[in-house]
Amino acid sequence: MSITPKQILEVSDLARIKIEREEVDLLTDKIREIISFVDKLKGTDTNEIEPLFNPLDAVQTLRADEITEIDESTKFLSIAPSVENNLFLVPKVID
Amino acid sequence: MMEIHSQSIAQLRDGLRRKEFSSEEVTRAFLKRIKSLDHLYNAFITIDEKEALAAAAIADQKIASGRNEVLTGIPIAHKDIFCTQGMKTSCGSKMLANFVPPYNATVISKFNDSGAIILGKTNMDEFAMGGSTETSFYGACFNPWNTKKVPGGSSGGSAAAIAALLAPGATGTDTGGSIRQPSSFCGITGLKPTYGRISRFGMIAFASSLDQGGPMAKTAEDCALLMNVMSGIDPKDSTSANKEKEDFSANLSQKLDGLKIGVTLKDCSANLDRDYQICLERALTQLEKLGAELIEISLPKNSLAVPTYYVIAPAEASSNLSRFDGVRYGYRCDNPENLLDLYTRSRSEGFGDEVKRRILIGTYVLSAGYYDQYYTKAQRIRRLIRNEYLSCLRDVDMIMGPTTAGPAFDIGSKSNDSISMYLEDTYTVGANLAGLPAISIPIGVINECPVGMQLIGRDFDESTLLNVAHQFQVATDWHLQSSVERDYA
Repeated sequence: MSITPKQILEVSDLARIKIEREEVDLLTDKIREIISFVDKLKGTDTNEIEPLFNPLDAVQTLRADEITEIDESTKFLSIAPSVENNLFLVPKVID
Repeated sequence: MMEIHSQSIAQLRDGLRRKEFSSEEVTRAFLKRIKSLDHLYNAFITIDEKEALAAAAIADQKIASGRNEVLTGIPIAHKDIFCTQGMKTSCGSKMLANFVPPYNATVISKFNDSGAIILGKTNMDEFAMGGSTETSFYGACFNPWNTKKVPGGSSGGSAAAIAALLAPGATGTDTGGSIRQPSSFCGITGLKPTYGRISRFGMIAFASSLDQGGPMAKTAEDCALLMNVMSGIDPKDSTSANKEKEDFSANLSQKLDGLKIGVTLKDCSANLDRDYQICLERALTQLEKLGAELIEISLPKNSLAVPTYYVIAPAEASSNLSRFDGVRYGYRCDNPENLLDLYTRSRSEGFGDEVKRRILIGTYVLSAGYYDQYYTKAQRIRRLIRNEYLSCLRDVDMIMGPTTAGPAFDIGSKSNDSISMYLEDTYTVGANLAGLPAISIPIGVINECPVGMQLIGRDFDESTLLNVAHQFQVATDWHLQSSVERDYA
């Protein structure tokens, strides 16, 4: 099934990326081309093959449950675009 | 004495130890070249001359008092994807044009501890998404061998800086070939280590199960020196591998007698430029002369590697890049009307076209109804690809093939053709999907543009790759050929 402009708009909504109206058709064509390129994977039988999420099949290493980090919030707040009372500032969410 | 800027890292290290020159002289020599020549290549995004010279002064004091570390006093350029405390880290994007990290990537801390000087931050495709360094917000980077050609990407700035002798060595990252392809296009040596060999902490994430930092330099000997500094387990990266610290320089001199090299040229011959095939065959003859046994092998599943990669990489990228929302750091749109508008406009204005396209593809293949069809399917095929490599690597010590389809292509020639650009990764993505180490080294020059060969090794066997690459470079001089003398004699 070929990807449609409507689907592209839905996906862009999910990804929080705005697409201008005049770009939709061209972008749909481009993404359709890429999706049909990756569609060739469908021809390969992968029954009984486990997915490989980590290339070395490694398992997550866990460290001891000890606090090792120091509070560096001031440093991190200093590079934020907008801050108030040591909090990140965003437009009003609740009226 | 050879000019400072022409020397390898090993030569600079020896010269500094013998006090033939100071770190300040070395650092000034490279800074001077960057200032006078980088307008031709656009290899650097950020230079901090004052900091570099201050670090060089400290290095000179250390050398004077005999407190040298491995790289004391040697300037190294870093891909602008590694966070550098107090120094802008843009990842080639408008999104991070104002981002000055409050911490260092582990790789940067390791270089600092080794005494190296940060020469500057190099140009790259935006968020490492590209194979030409044309998608950088800071303008395209140009190949020093021919400025009408791309330097490759995404670590194009690092490769161009080394080829133009603006830096003796650099860091790069490789998600689908981003160290090896520009190394091939610029006539330098670049190693993508085994997944997990080098910490990814503070290395801005593109596709976390594929991303791997690595060294780029003129020679394999220098790459080994850089590997000694960069590698090692890091508690801050839970995917970094728990391996004993290795000395990658220790085995460089070993002879190649009895080494088995699998050759994949038959698989590739239909797509390869004839002149490039000749270079590859000549390199094979050389390897044979050095004592290696060549065994023809085939990797039929590799034809699935590029489409597999272009499902997994955008999927992981769409997740990783969701962090850029205009709230905590990076670009924020003006006068957002509400929270959704803040997210959407900050992302739409901050990301370039290729990044947006990949986020959209990634979001699509991860969305309900398509996840199994694309993402899980690609991860299953990834296992088939890795199994095929592992099966070959039971019979041979490494696999030799082309790094790219040919020499560097013209600037602009592929920017409107995504598939053609993606196919640039045909020979390199397999090693990323399988997690295997792979190196590209120069093996010839076609129409005044260099080409490389790729050697893919067993898990965590970078040492043998560097050994073969070094022995090849002892016997040949392709790695010593340079674009620079011709232009600036």
